[in-house]
Amino acid sequence: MAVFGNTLSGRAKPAETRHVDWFPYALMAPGLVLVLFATLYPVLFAVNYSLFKTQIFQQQEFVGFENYSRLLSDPRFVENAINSFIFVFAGVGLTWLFGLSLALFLRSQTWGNAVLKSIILIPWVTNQVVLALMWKWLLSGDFSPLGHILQRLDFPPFNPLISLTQALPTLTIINAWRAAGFALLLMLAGLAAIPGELDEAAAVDGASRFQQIRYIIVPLLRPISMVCMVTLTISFFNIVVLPLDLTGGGPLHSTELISIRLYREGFQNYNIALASTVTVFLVVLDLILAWIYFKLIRSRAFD
Amino acid sequence: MFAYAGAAAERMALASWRRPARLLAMMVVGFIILTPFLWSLSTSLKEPADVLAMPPTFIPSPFTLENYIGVLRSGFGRYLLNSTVVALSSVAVVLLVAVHAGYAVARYEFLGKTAMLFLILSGMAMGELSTVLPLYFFGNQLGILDTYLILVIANSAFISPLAIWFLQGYFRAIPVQLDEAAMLDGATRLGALYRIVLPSAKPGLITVSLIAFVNSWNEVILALVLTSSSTMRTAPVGLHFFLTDYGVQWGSLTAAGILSTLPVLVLFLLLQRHFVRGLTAGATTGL
Repeated sequence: MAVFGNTLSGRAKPAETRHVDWFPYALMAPGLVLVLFATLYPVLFAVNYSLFKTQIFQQQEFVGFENYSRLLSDPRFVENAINSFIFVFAGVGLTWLFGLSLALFLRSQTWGNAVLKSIILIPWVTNQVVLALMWKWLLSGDFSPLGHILQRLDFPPFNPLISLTQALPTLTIINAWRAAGFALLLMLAGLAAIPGELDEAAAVDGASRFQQIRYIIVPLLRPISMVCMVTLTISFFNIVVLPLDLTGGGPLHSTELISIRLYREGFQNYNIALASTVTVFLVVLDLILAWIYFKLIRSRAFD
Repeated sequence: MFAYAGAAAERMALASWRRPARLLAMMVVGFIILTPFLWSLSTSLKEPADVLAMPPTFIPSPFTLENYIGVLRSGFGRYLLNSTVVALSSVAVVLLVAVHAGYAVARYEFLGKTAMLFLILSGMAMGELSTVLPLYFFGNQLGILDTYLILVIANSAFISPLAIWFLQGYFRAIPVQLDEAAMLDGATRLGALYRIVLPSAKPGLITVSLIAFVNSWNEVILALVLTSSSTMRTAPVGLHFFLTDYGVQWGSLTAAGILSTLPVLVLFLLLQRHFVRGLTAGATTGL
């Protein structure tokens, strides 16, 4: 890539003239405008509005960091943050575990494995509103097949989505179910790069299947696992539609994630200042994760 | 591709009991994944009276398309049309923009490139949710809220980071000698891109189009906030309102759900290889 840049500009214009080649900038420009729309503009907007007292989009009074201190001392926001962290970290761990187990299970390239792999990917490519609707219907107690089976077994039909203690775990598991296919793809890519002889050598040395996985495969998959987990963490922190339509943050605030709070403050309470402050919080998280991601990609450890 | 002798021998030795056990495990996994889909499909094909029947039945009898017809009559057809228009326009914009930007990143060294790359990666890390307030404000200032235009701008802005990222990786895999040969033959720099690089990047372009189509088809929050009139709703937004407004008419709800899943599902089944590459584009494309 560097070679090409040099030869090209070298041939067109001698390097000594130090003339700036505007061509790559012109090529980048339209894309850059769009990227700025999704990055710098929202950040500046949110930081700006987070420093004011607002009436819808009217900035009424500059208040400095008051919105931040109010948010951080708000017990509901603390609850939102705890919910988010549980949802994200338990969810990422679970998704990774699903992906790894499925990848080990579906590693050999047979016809049946290919079909099952496609099936596992379906939830990941399906709209989250549709997923929420389907699970709501499946779990809705009385008339669902699940409720019926429970009734047959003499358990009262129950709906975990309206239970204070079970709603968040249920949401987390459904989300991991949704993302398992993505983790599976990455883990399969990682496994494909591990030479089979390594497992065999370990097997000859008398390692059990579990030992092979624990001490050989998992460490070798570390780089791609990191990429997988960072990607999922970003995606889970920002998820809004699935929880919004599945539980709507309830019952009470037991499944209200940071993202749901942002949506509610912005578009149900029209509290733009508070919503912007939450956005800043979320963006900082995203940027930290993007930076880690950038480092991972740059190290190219998984190539 | 990496089927190796050890595993094969092991499998053969244990095949007698392993194969049925494996088959059973595969069926369990498939069942866990598909149950919500199949149950909804079954509900959508039932008559209203059978939807809440006890005990629940899995095979609809009598089988009816009533729910689908009803849903399409009540405006869902328009939502599907809106989704199609927005998704296809976003594909066009994203392709146009990402081809050029991706080529610049792949083939040129320029001042500020690293900063630009970090910006692009940050774009991939930002959720729609962080961009929706400012985009609403922007659309409001320009008076383009509740139009296709704002939806296409929003979707394209949101998808282009990943598209640029993926295409730069794809272009870098195409030998530079091709461009250089074309230019020696008198092609301009843009000519080399259009006539030589793009034709050999066709699979990459298909992948990017798929990424753009599926992302904008499945996008909900931007479309929910940036539109207000019911004729501008996209399919998932329409479904979101169905879910909140008529939360108990499961026959119609599941039919609408199946309808809005179908286009993506068909593309997925037809173009699986591209799809898989698109899904892992962010995570497996290096620098």
